[in-house]
Amino acid sequence: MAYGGDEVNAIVLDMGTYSTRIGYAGEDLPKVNMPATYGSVLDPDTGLFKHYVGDEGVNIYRPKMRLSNPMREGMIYEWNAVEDVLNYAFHSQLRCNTADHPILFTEPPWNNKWNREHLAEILFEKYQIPATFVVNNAVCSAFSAGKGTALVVDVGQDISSVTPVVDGYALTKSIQRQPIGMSLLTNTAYMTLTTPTLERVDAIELHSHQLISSKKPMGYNAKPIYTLRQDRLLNADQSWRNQMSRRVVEDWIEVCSGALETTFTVEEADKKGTKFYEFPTGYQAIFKGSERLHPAEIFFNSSALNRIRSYGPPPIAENHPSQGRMIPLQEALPLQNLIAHALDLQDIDVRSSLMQNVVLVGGGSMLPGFQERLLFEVSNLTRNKNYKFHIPTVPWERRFSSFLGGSILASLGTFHQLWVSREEWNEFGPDILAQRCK
Amino acid sequence: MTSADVREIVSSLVPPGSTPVPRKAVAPSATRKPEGISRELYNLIGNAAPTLVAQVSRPKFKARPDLGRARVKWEFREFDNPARKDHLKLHHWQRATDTGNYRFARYNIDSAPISYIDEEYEAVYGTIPAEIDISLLASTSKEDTPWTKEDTDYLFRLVREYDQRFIVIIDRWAPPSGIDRPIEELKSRYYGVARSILERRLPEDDPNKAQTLAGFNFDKQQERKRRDYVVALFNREPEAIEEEEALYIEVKRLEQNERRFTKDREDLLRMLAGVESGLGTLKVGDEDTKKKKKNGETSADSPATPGGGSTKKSKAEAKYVPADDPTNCIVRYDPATVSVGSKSGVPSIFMRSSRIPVPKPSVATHVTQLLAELQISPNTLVMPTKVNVEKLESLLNTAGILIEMKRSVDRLDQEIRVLKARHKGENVEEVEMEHGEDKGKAVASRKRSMSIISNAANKRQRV
Repeated sequence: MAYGGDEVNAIVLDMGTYSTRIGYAGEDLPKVNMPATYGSVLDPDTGLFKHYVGDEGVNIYRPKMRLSNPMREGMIYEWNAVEDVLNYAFHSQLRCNTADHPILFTEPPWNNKWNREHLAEILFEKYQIPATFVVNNAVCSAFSAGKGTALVVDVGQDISSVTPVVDGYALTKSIQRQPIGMSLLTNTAYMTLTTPTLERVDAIELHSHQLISSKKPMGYNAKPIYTLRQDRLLNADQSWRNQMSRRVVEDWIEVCSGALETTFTVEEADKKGTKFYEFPTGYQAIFKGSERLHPAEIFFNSSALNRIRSYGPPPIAENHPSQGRMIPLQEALPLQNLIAHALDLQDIDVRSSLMQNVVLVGGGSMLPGFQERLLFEVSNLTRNKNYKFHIPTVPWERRFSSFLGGSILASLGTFHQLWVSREEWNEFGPDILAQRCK
Repeated sequence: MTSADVREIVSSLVPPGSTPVPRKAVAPSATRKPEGISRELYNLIGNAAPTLVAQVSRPKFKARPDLGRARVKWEFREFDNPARKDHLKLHHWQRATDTGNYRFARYNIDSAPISYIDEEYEAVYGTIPAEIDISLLASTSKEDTPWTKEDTDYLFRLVREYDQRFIVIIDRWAPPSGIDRPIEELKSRYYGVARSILERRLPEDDPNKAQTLAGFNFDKQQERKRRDYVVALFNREPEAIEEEEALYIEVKRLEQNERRFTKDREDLLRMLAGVESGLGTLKVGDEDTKKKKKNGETSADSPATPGGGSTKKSKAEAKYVPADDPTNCIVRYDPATVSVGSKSGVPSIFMRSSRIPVPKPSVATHVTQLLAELQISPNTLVMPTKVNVEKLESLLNTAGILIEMKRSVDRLDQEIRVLKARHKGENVEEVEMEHGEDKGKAVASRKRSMSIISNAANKRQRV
């Protein structure tokens, strides 16, 4: 009962491009954290696709299983597997009867009307929920930091965005977003690893462990000796193999990569020391500071950005386009410029309070050295000392910030008058969502 | 060697007749150790332990929670939220004893913004054509385009929806006419319309009418100016900010110097001429100086005229002392001589007799002695007329100064003597010269004191 809380067993549903987070309101961590991708296998008897979701659904080898991500820019753009994802979460993981639980779901600020109404419709029709509410995930992130007014800097999987939030309302006109996120970092790291250097004459082979039948222990930088599982190699879908290779790269990023705290120079980066990594093939390598810290420069450095612009932008949702403008990769800015630009667009009366409440969230911000570098670049760029960053120190609060904010919101006693109930949904139709969830 | 051996040796030293006195065992019951004091400490300080210590240091434990008695039963219960218009039933855990309305429903309050009906709007603004004249749109800049009723309706709807958060309203602004307007324009329109609607709606005899309407005053130009100013402030370079700060500190420093100078001058004047320069209570502050500049007064800069017997009234007091009123025979006296009045600068009620100056305590005895010599009793004047009292005042003043002067002369003499002693072995001429100078000074001061005495004498004669 403390802090105005009143639990009504609400469920918070937070779908992102990298992972889907589902859990009970009032808790600080989601009960279910599953990859957003799903696998589909054609059943030859029925001619239908069978969908596999969750960690054990996606990461396991299955013959001819195609992996695809239904999310783009944080929005659902492929609806085939959404129900499979929700079934898995509600029935296999939470094991709850959804008719007893109101569900609050999050959406990116640029979500379109059709998308949110469609999801609400599925929840009402298929899952018989008593009530729902949709809330902007930038607002949630601000709430998770305990702020009603904040400038939310979200470095996500596909997109890094800067969203001003004033009194719990996202100011949609001045949102800045660009397709520079962890997936682009993974691409960059992929290129770094597969490009031969003077020390590594061969490109690193990024086979995932599911494909390797045996390997021999080798010394440092020796050519790996391993055998692949030919049966799997033949039957594995290319999309699954690509995804698994990316997982290898993501793991390498987690272990080795990071951002340099100051302006990137090779000498300075080399001072950060080397790191050792063994790939699934048994290949062992030591990575110099300049090598492992360079990929993250795409967030801060326009020359590094120029280099990757040739890789081309990631695909963008087309069937139901997002609202507002996304800065294309060709015009992308370093993150500090993006923040400064977003602030310049704000009304002068809120600008200083936004500057005092910059909230950094998103999986990308968990890179070691990322926040220090951002603070360094921002203070260098603007010469203004009044920036105050709020960066949650607990790492998962940054990753699950939108879940956490939604969890706080849905457990407040004063919030329960805002739910869009089934009765209202039936009476007013989908338009009630836009009226209620502003 | 055992203890028995030692005892044997010692007993051999003791004369055989005297038996050792059996040592009295210390009775612990007689001086019980008080609670809350450690045994070692008690052994050290013994009975002298202050009772307070024992009481203060006695450990106090929190009362044990009584778990057994208050067992609360909780129920998982359906509840109705009166803040909702529908019949949504949610469930929550609740104390079984808790009944009644939903606790959080009372937070459902409206900011009660102004709204109007079409008739009211038309009564104020007339029936404005629904469509905007295209030529008008082209000729004027966009934000000056007159408002349509549709746009105004839309504005009022947004204001209600977002509880007058104009920052959010301007973000969501997509009016039927499609005209983007700056935020101060929206505010001005909202407050303007609300004001005129209210003006018509409220009855004439409503006592709060003016006050209510004043709440809806909005000056667009003023707001624009304010915003421009804030933007300018925000866009200052760090160097400019630093310079401003440096200048501010410099001003503060100058003011402080000024204050010190004034104080020094005051002291000097009081010392040498016995005059209040009138600058002592000068307040050197931001607003004060600004005000003074405005009034064209340059009191801080103009040198005080020493020697003049007339004391300047300090500003704070001058404000509150009303002018003389000869027709009613009211004569106001200069309150500067003695500090009466309260700290706030407003003179309080006082007895006239209390205004007769009392000599400083350090010189009081000498002054009374002096007065006794002159055969004047300061407490009982024969004819306490205005003139006589003034005379007495100045006499007491000068007497005090005279005494102080004499003291400083004595001190200087003493110093001269010391210096002379120090310079004994040195050049005779130099010493003589110094001596001569000092003599000159001493003579001068003596002369002055003489003149003061004669003054006093004159006064006495007149008195």
